[in-house]
Amino acid sequence: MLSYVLRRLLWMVPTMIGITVLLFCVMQLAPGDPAALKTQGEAGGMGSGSSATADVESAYEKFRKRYKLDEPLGVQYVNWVEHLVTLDFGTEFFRPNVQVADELWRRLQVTVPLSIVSVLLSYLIALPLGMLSAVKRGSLIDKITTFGLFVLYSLPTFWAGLMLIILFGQSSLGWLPVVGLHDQDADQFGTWQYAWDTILHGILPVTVLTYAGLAYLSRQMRTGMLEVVRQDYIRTARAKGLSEKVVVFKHAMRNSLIPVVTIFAQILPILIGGSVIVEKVFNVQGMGLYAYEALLKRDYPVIMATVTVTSFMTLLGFLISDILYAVVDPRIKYD
Amino acid sequence: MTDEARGKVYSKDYWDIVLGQVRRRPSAMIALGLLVLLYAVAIYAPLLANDRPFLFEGTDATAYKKARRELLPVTAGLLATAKGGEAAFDATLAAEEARGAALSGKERDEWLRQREQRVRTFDDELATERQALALRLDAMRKQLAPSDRGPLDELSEAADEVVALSLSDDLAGVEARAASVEALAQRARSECDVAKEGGTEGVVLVPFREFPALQSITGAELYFMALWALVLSFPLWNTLVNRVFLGGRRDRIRRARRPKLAAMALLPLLAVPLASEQAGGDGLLSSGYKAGLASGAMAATDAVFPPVAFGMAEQNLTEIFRPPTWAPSSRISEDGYYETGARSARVDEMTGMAIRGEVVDVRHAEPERNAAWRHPLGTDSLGRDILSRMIWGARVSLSVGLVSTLILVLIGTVLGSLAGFFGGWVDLVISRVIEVFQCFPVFFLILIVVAFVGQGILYIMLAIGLFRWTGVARLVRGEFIRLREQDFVVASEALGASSMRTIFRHVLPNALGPVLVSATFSVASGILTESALSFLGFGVKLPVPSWGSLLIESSSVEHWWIQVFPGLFIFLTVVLYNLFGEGVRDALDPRLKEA
Repeated sequence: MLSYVLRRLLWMVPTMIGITVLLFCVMQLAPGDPAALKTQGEAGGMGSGSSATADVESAYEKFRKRYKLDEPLGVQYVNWVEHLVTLDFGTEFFRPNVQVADELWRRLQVTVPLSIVSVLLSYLIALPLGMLSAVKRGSLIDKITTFGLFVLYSLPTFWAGLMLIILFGQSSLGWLPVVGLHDQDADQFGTWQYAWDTILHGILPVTVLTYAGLAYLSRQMRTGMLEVVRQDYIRTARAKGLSEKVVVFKHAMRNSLIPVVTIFAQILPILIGGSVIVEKVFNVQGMGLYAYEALLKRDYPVIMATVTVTSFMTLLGFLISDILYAVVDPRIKYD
Repeated sequence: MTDEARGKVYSKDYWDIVLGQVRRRPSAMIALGLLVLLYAVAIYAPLLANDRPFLFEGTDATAYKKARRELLPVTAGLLATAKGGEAAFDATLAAEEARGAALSGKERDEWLRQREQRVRTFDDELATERQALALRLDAMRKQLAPSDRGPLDELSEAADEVVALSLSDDLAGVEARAASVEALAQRARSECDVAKEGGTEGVVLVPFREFPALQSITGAELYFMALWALVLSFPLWNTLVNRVFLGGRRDRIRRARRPKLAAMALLPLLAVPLASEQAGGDGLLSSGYKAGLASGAMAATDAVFPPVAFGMAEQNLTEIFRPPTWAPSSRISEDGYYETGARSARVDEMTGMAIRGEVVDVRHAEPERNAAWRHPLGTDSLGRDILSRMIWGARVSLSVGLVSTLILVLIGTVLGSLAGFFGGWVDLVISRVIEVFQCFPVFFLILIVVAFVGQGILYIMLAIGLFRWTGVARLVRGEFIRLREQDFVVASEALGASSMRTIFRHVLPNALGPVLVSATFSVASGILTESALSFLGFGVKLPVPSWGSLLIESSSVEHWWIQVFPGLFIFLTVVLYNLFGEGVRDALDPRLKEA
């Protein structure tokens, strides 16, 4: 088992290198010189004139020196990876006193709990729903849930978010807060009040984050369950007179869970991509919004850091899912 | 074997079965039908929503006067080029190149951009100038009685002569005639002045007949319109061809499948030359038909407008952010005030005076002020009709999905079949690459590329195609691994067929079914991705909107119609594609149907 995990870890190395190379290439694609962008932005504040131009020239050179932009690409790449390994993402482009790693960590504390809650929720809802649908195959319940999930699956996240805001926001029903994760004066709240406030604010974002994964998961669960129900050992179980409850929950469910449990590795990148949109719609100060704002400002270090972190998190998800698979399914051989 | 015998031994092939199965699924067929209609709306947009009339009959004094005013300068320009001859033109060109070579930085970029548009040869330059003159002459001629056209015809002939002389490098001849051409232009100008009311001098304008909406259609648009006419009428002519020409025999029908497809793709090409030369532009018309008709510059005896009489970019600043006109909140009273809501007549708190609302300007041919069908989906921040913009926007949204899918299917199929067919280190490398791509939140990556490289529709299609191919590649790889040990593949190799032949003739056709299904879902996801990009502000740039970019015209909850309707159509389109995809998947693999 341990050797299996180690081998999987080793296999991750080329993938990680691939990820960094691809990222580096994408960043090189960006037109415009970060140094020029930066120094010109500063010059704009200083006014014009020949001395200003000279200042810009020297600032430009200094900047290129500092970020080693005049080195060959290969050297730049190695430099960048060296910093990555030590989790040093540098400072923000336009706020040089803010460490990207610190800010990112702060933002992750918002995004990760949201994602985890929505993953858990989607599993909690999707598994019973998929099972019900499979057990009662062809019934009205099955048809309704299948159709409902199909519709959910096709629903654009940003639009769903906007519609929820229109529906529940101040202007119509006024039931739920739609901006941010806390009230403005949340600092003065007591613990319970604060928690309640957070939950109220979280309902809509979590709903939007949850429904797409839920639809996907539930379909997978139904498929897996139908597949299992056809197996011989289910027929045997029925033949020897076991109650339907035992057949469904003990024999069928356990085996159909295996592929579904491991799917969360696939849901993770979808969730993270989705967090950009959901956090933008509900103005949640998480990693997605951080990355989005960085994109608007062309804040290279921040963009690099967020993409790298998310892709490594996804890779980690794949690893966990593989190990989980091996743990829950004894038929998987470790070699 | 005779045809008779062949008909008897006919067995269904792969696509017979698939098509038969798809046909038996009502939900897939309904989805397909609705999709075809949706594309029809996008393709026929100029005929459905336009501020140009289908048919215009009347006079246009403004256009006439403008053409007449420009007659002299345009003639002078033509003469100058003709007199200079090829040598002078080449000299200016060379001088310009030299100037450009000395430039650098932004100026150089600007210069390069201009060079793209500049005419490169003397012949073209002369033809362009002649064309400009012809445009003015035609604009005048069509509004003149035949008896008044004399001076214009003479000018036209003389200009042709000069051009011919100049092209044959007879500069002396050009010089000799230049003065007379100029005199002709002067004469045409003075003799063709429009008669003042009650005056006797000058000419009287005669009504002309035009089809402005049709004339604005470009060749490419015509091609797709003709193609879609064939698609829409497919059930009709297909049945006819099968019954009458193919005698209803299945083997012949099957063999006719490819020729039919080819005919559908090629026949519409015949429509391309029908496009008007001035397509895309408005010729001399500067203010639009509605404005012309409203101001009295144009007098129409007859003008027929499309069902939605609003242009994609037509603004009406007196109707900003008007709710859908069937909603009670959009009602406007006689004197132009909104009757309810934030913009109804109110009293200024400071001065105590009533704030006058702006009276809604109802233009020629538009539904009246409070008609429910005036703006059934409301208007945006510039008073543009959302319905019209959505009809045009369908073009962007639908084509992004299709083209990006085409790209990703191409990449995925090539890489997937290489990996699956050859195995070994090829497979290893490609599989690693797929794994790398799968670790990214793909949407995020597309977002970065579009934000950095460029926000055009082309970049969006490319970015989606370049980052979403892994699914198809894995699918094709799996199919190839499954198929390559099968007898018919081994047989093909044993017969000495090359790898390429084996791949393309034997393996690939059998692996295409799942790809088709996956492609259908990819179109849906491409449309979703584009709209999400647009929503984040990295979408297609104006003037043609996409549904996603329509949706962000206002972020205020107050303007709900702006967010509801475009999103609804994105949603519906995605549902239709997914429905159709599920239908095809079930048809391909009945075993999966239960899933």
